[in-house]
Amino acid sequence: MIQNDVELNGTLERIAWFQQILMQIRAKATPEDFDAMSSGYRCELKKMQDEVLEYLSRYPDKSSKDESREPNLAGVV
Amino acid sequence: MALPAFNAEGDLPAGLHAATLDEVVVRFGSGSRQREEVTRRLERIHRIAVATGKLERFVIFGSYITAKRDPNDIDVFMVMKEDFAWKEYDRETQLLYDHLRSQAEFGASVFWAKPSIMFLGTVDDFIAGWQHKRDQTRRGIVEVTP
Repeated sequence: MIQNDVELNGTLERIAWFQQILMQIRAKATPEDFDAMSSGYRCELKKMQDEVLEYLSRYPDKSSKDESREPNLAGVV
Repeated sequence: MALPAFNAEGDLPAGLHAATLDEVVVRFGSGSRQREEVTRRLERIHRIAVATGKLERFVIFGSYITAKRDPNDIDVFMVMKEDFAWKEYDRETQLLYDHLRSQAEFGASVFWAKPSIMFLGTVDDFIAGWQHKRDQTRRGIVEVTP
Protein backbone atom coordinates (compact mmCIF):
# COMPACT_ATOMS: atom_id res chain seq x y z
CA MET A 1 0.00 0.00 0.00
CA ILE A 2 1.32 3.46 -0.92
CA GLN A 3 1.92 5.44 2.26
CA ASN A 4 2.94 8.90 1.04
CA ASP A 5 3.70 11.06 -1.98
CA VAL A 6 7.28 9.79 -2.19
CA GLU A 7 6.00 6.27 -2.64
CA LEU A 8 3.38 7.57 -5.04
CA ASN A 9 6.08 9.08 -7.24
CA GLY A 10 8.15 5.91 -6.97
CA THR A 11 5.18 3.81 -8.01
CA LEU A 12 4.41 6.11 -10.94
CA GLU A 13 8.01 5.68 -12.11
CA ARG A 14 7.67 1.90 -11.83
CA ILE A 15 4.44 2.01 -13.79
CA ALA A 16 6.14 3.94 -16.58
CA TRP A 17 8.99 1.40 -16.63
CA PHE A 18 6.63 -1.57 -16.84
CA GLN A 19 4.65 0.16 -19.58
CA GLN A 20 7.84 0.56 -21.60
CA ILE A 21 8.64 -3.11 -21.11
CA LEU A 22 5.19 -4.08 -22.36
CA MET A 23 5.58 -1.81 -25.37
CA GLN A 24 8.85 -3.53 -26.17
CA ILE A 25 7.31 -6.98 -25.74
CA ARG A 26 4.47 -5.99 -28.08
CA ALA A 27 7.00 -4.83 -30.65
CA LYS A 28 9.53 -7.63 -30.40
CA ALA A 29 7.99 -10.82 -28.96
CA THR A 30 6.84 -13.66 -31.18
CA PRO A 31 3.12 -14.52 -31.20
CA GLU A 32 3.94 -17.71 -29.30
CA ASP A 33 5.76 -15.83 -26.54
CA PHE A 34 3.58 -12.76 -26.23
CA ASP A 35 0.93 -13.87 -23.74
CA ALA A 36 3.25 -15.75 -21.42
CA MET A 37 6.07 -13.20 -21.50
CA SER A 38 3.78 -10.20 -21.01
CA SER A 39 1.61 -11.78 -18.31
CA GLY A 40 3.88 -10.89 -15.41
CA TYR A 41 4.33 -7.29 -16.43
CA ARG A 42 0.60 -6.86 -17.09
CA CYS A 43 -0.25 -8.31 -13.71
CA GLU A 44 2.23 -6.13 -11.85
CA LEU A 45 1.17 -3.05 -13.81
CA LYS A 46 -2.48 -3.57 -12.86
CA LYS A 47 -1.53 -4.05 -9.23
CA MET A 48 0.45 -0.80 -9.14
CA GLN A 49 -2.25 1.13 -10.97
CA ASP A 50 -4.80 -0.10 -8.43
CA GLU A 51 -2.50 0.97 -5.59
CA VAL A 52 -2.18 4.46 -7.09
CA LEU A 53 -5.93 4.78 -7.43
CA GLU A 54 -6.44 3.56 -3.88
CA TYR A 55 -3.96 6.15 -2.58
CA LEU A 56 -5.43 8.96 -4.62
CA SER A 57 -8.86 8.06 -3.33
CA ARG A 58 -7.79 8.71 0.26
CA TYR A 59 -8.06 12.27 1.57
CA PRO A 60 -4.51 13.31 2.50
CA ASP A 61 -3.20 14.03 5.97
CA LYS A 62 -2.13 17.66 5.65
CA SER A 63 -0.86 18.10 9.19
CA SER A 64 2.77 17.41 8.20
CA LYS A 65 2.75 18.47 4.54
CA ASP A 66 6.22 18.71 3.00
CA GLU A 67 6.14 21.05 -0.02
CA SER A 68 9.32 19.47 -1.42
CA ARG A 69 7.56 16.12 -1.76
CA GLU A 70 4.77 17.20 -4.08
CA PRO A 71 3.58 14.53 -6.52
CA ASN A 72 5.43 14.53 -9.79
CA LEU A 73 2.72 14.70 -12.44
CA ALA A 74 5.06 14.60 -15.41
CA GLY A 75 4.18 11.75 -17.71
CA VAL A 76 1.15 10.67 -15.72
CA VAL A 77 -1.19 8.72 -17.99
CA MET B 1 32.75 -13.28 -3.24
CA ALA B 2 30.54 -13.40 -0.15
CA LEU B 3 27.23 -11.60 -0.24
CA PRO B 4 27.44 -8.29 1.65
CA ALA B 5 25.75 -7.57 4.96
CA PHE B 6 22.36 -5.91 5.06
CA ASN B 7 22.19 -2.13 5.39
CA ALA B 8 20.22 -0.26 8.03
CA GLU B 9 16.99 -0.83 6.06
CA GLY B 10 17.48 -4.58 6.09
CA ASP B 11 18.31 -4.65 2.38
CA LEU B 12 21.41 -5.70 0.50
CA PRO B 13 23.41 -2.65 -0.61
CA ALA B 14 22.38 -1.39 -4.04
CA GLY B 15 23.92 -3.31 -6.89
CA LEU B 16 23.84 -6.71 -8.58
CA HIS B 17 25.43 -9.33 -6.31
CA ALA B 18 26.53 -12.66 -7.76
CA ALA B 19 26.20 -15.89 -5.82
CA THR B 20 25.70 -19.57 -6.48
CA LEU B 21 22.39 -21.13 -5.48
CA ASP B 22 24.13 -22.87 -2.58
CA GLU B 23 25.44 -19.52 -1.34
CA VAL B 24 21.97 -18.01 -1.63
CA VAL B 25 20.44 -20.87 0.34
CA VAL B 26 23.07 -20.66 3.05
CA ARG B 27 22.56 -16.91 3.40
CA PHE B 28 18.79 -16.61 3.04
CA GLY B 29 17.37 -20.10 3.41
CA SER B 30 16.72 -20.36 7.12
CA GLY B 31 15.38 -18.40 10.05
CA SER B 32 11.72 -19.33 9.87
CA ARG B 33 9.50 -22.04 8.44
CA GLN B 34 8.19 -19.59 5.88
CA ARG B 35 11.73 -18.81 4.75
CA GLU B 36 12.52 -22.50 4.44
CA GLU B 37 9.35 -23.04 2.41
CA VAL B 38 10.13 -20.13 0.07
CA THR B 39 13.66 -21.48 -0.32
CA ARG B 40 12.31 -24.83 -1.47
CA ARG B 41 10.25 -22.96 -4.06
CA LEU B 42 13.35 -21.12 -5.22
CA GLU B 43 15.30 -24.36 -5.59
CA ARG B 44 12.49 -25.91 -7.59
CA ILE B 45 12.15 -22.90 -9.88
CA HIS B 46 15.89 -22.70 -10.49
CA ARG B 47 16.09 -26.42 -11.24
CA ILE B 48 13.32 -26.16 -13.84
CA ALA B 49 14.82 -23.06 -15.44
CA VAL B 50 18.29 -24.59 -15.71
CA ALA B 51 16.84 -27.80 -17.14
CA THR B 52 15.48 -25.89 -20.14
CA GLY B 53 19.06 -25.45 -21.34
CA LYS B 54 18.05 -21.93 -22.40
CA LEU B 55 18.58 -19.93 -19.21
CA GLU B 56 20.94 -16.98 -19.59
CA ARG B 57 20.41 -14.98 -16.41
CA PHE B 58 18.56 -15.74 -13.16
CA VAL B 59 18.01 -12.80 -10.83
CA ILE B 60 16.31 -12.75 -7.44
CA PHE B 61 14.79 -9.53 -6.13
CA GLY B 62 12.23 -8.55 -3.51
CA SER B 63 11.78 -9.47 0.13
CA TYR B 64 13.41 -12.94 0.04
CA ILE B 65 16.86 -11.36 -0.16
CA THR B 66 16.22 -8.96 2.69
CA ALA B 67 16.23 -9.28 6.47
CA LYS B 68 12.46 -9.83 6.48
CA ARG B 69 11.78 -12.87 8.64
CA ASP B 70 8.87 -14.26 6.62
CA PRO B 71 8.99 -13.34 2.94
CA ASN B 72 5.67 -14.03 1.22
CA ASP B 73 7.06 -15.45 -1.97
CA ILE B 74 10.07 -15.48 -4.25
CA ASP B 75 10.49 -12.81 -6.92
CA VAL B 76 12.53 -13.84 -9.93
CA PHE B 77 13.50 -12.29 -13.24
CA MET B 78 15.00 -14.50 -15.94
CA VAL B 79 16.61 -13.80 -19.27
CA MET B 80 16.09 -16.72 -21.63
CA LYS B 81 17.98 -17.40 -24.85
CA GLU B 82 16.44 -15.98 -27.98
CA ASP B 83 15.48 -19.44 -29.28
CA PHE B 84 13.73 -20.50 -26.08
CA ALA B 85 10.33 -21.96 -27.01
CA TRP B 86 8.47 -22.41 -23.76
CA LYS B 87 5.59 -24.35 -25.30
CA GLU B 88 7.92 -27.16 -26.31
CA TYR B 89 8.58 -28.18 -22.70
CA ASP B 90 6.65 -30.27 -20.22
CA ARG B 91 3.67 -28.96 -18.26
CA GLU B 92 5.67 -28.06 -15.15
CA THR B 93 8.05 -25.91 -17.21
CA GLN B 94 5.21 -24.23 -19.10
CA LEU B 95 3.56 -23.34 -15.79
CA LEU B 96 6.73 -21.61 -14.63
CA TYR B 97 6.76 -19.23 -17.61
CA ASP B 98 3.13 -18.20 -17.25
CA HIS B 99 3.11 -15.58 -14.50
CA LEU B 100 -0.37 -16.13 -13.08
CA ARG B 101 -0.07 -19.90 -13.17
CA SER B 102 3.41 -19.80 -11.65
CA GLN B 103 2.07 -17.79 -8.74
CA ALA B 104 -0.48 -20.49 -8.05
CA GLU B 105 1.80 -23.46 -8.77
CA PHE B 106 5.13 -22.24 -7.42
CA GLY B 107 4.23 -19.46 -5.00
CA ALA B 108 6.53 -17.22 -6.98
CA SER B 109 6.36 -14.01 -8.94
CA VAL B 110 8.19 -14.82 -12.16
CA PHE B 111 9.13 -12.34 -14.84
CA TRP B 112 11.10 -13.25 -17.92
CA ALA B 113 12.26 -11.80 -21.20
CA LYS B 114 14.67 -12.43 -24.05
CA PRO B 115 17.66 -10.25 -25.01
CA SER B 116 15.76 -8.77 -27.95
CA ILE B 117 13.24 -7.26 -25.50
CA MET B 118 15.82 -5.16 -23.64
CA PHE B 119 15.28 -1.47 -24.31
CA LEU B 120 17.57 0.17 -21.76
CA GLY B 121 20.87 -0.48 -23.46
CA THR B 122 22.43 -3.72 -22.29
CA VAL B 123 20.89 -6.67 -20.50
CA ASP B 124 22.81 -5.49 -17.41
CA ASP B 125 21.12 -2.09 -17.61
CA PHE B 126 17.73 -3.77 -17.79
CA ILE B 127 18.48 -6.07 -14.89
CA ALA B 128 19.58 -3.06 -12.81
CA GLY B 129 16.01 -1.72 -13.06
CA TRP B 130 14.82 -4.45 -10.69
CA GLN B 131 16.63 -2.73 -7.82
CA HIS B 132 14.20 0.15 -7.59
CA LYS B 133 11.85 0.35 -4.60
CA ARG B 134 8.67 2.36 -4.40
CA ASP B 135 10.29 4.84 -2.02
CA GLN B 136 12.61 5.72 -4.91
CA THR B 137 15.66 4.15 -3.28
CA ARG B 138 17.50 1.10 -4.60
CA ARG B 139 18.18 -2.20 -2.94
CA GLY B 140 20.55 -4.95 -3.95
CA ILE B 141 19.50 -7.88 -6.08
CA VAL B 142 21.17 -11.25 -6.49
CA GLU B 143 22.12 -13.05 -9.68
CA VAL B 144 22.43 -16.79 -9.29
CA THR B 145 25.54 -17.94 -11.12
CA PRO B 146 26.53 -21.51 -12.04
